[in-house]
Amino acid sequence: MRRDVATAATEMARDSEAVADLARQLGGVDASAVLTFFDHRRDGAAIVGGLRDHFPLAEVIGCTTVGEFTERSYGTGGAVAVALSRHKVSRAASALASYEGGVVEGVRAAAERIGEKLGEDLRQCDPERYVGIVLLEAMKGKEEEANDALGRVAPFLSFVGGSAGDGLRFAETRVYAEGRESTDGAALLVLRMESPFSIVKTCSFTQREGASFRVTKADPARRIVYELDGKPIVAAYSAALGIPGDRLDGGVFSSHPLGLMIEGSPWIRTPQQVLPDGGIRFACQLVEGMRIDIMNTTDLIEDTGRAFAQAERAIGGRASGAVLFNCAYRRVDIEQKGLTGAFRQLLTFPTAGFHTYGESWLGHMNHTLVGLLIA
Amino acid sequence: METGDEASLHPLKEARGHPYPHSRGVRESVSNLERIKNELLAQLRSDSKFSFVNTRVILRTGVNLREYTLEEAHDPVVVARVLKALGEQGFTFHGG
Repeated sequence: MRRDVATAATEMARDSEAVADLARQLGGVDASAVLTFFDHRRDGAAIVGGLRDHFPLAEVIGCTTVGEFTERSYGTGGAVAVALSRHKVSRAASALASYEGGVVEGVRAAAERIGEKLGEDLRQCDPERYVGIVLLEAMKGKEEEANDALGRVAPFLSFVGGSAGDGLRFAETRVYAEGRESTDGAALLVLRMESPFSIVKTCSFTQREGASFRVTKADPARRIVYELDGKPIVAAYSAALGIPGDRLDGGVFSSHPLGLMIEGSPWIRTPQQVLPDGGIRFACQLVEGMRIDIMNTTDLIEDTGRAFAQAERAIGGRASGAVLFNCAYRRVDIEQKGLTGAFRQLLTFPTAGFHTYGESWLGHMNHTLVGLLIA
Repeated sequence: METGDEASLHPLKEARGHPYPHSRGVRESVSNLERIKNELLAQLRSDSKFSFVNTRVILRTGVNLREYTLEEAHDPVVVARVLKALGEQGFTFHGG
């Protein structure tokens, strides 16, 4: 029986054995593209290189993670992969965008290489037929600039993806494409789809009543906000939540991030730390003039299930596969609330994904699950 | 949308066959978010493409071309930020 989307997961300790195990599970797929996500302690070059050897006609990209999952596995320390067949993806091209000469320049050069491989100008690609995947380095805070750069080269094309992880150590993340590794770049992959596809984006937050503000003082480059509605952010934020300013901590931030509402959907910006100068550092940029809402949590499992159902309706039925990028904050929520089993039960289609340091689709965001569902 | 390397927005195309009547007219044309929105919609001829471009503008500037205040619509600083974000995506206003 032909397999169009195959997933694989391994916990083999030796990377050479892990590659062989992944390749065995993906065997029989005439793959045009392979994506792999693995623990940061693993030799990524060996895993990606090994999969390139096993699938010489496929584009292979990958990155390190904060945990990996498939429809059959969920954990840390391992490696997962998904192979997409030529029946689903007739053509694929990948490139490593190195930021060494600048983010915009690196993304532009990578996009040009992808365009040459495909024989297409990415700006002119039909967004109903083409879709992009992006895996971003996460420690240098360049995700917003990289997403902006993607908007310059292909404003109508969806690039969906995530920021690589390193198991919550926050030291170094790595991405791989074209057989190369980068700790300061992004892996780009563009797919010409032969089946309907949809982008899923879901978070589990709703606007808190009476807690809408405008950002009036910020340092976007450092992802710091100083004032909301002309008041110091710590005072404004804590007053809206009815708690003292000195009680703000990770638990409060995770339960009450800020949301930028776009067409009824929140794009989450999660606070990380109160700074000595009175500002709050976020995991995502906010700019002056932006209207934002403090959010309250909702039911993660129910919301995610609804989002998958909606994405499947958009592609006309059951998904044959998915690549998912799930925020590490959501992983913490899932595990602290004992929802791992319920989350896994939502993955009723072949899936490979990882827990991220940020999610990307048109821009950078936090505390969200994004992904590609294929009919 | 237009074909070619970059899609261009021509806010004065509707100026009765006289594309650039005077410089003040150019400034007036590009200094209004309503006109920028309408020209962008006319050029893209696709609500989904407009949503993509607009979402990127919102994430970059905080300004929503579908829901802006009267104050924002005529604020030259806001308009300049929007034009810059659109320009970087390849949508340029002649004279803007």
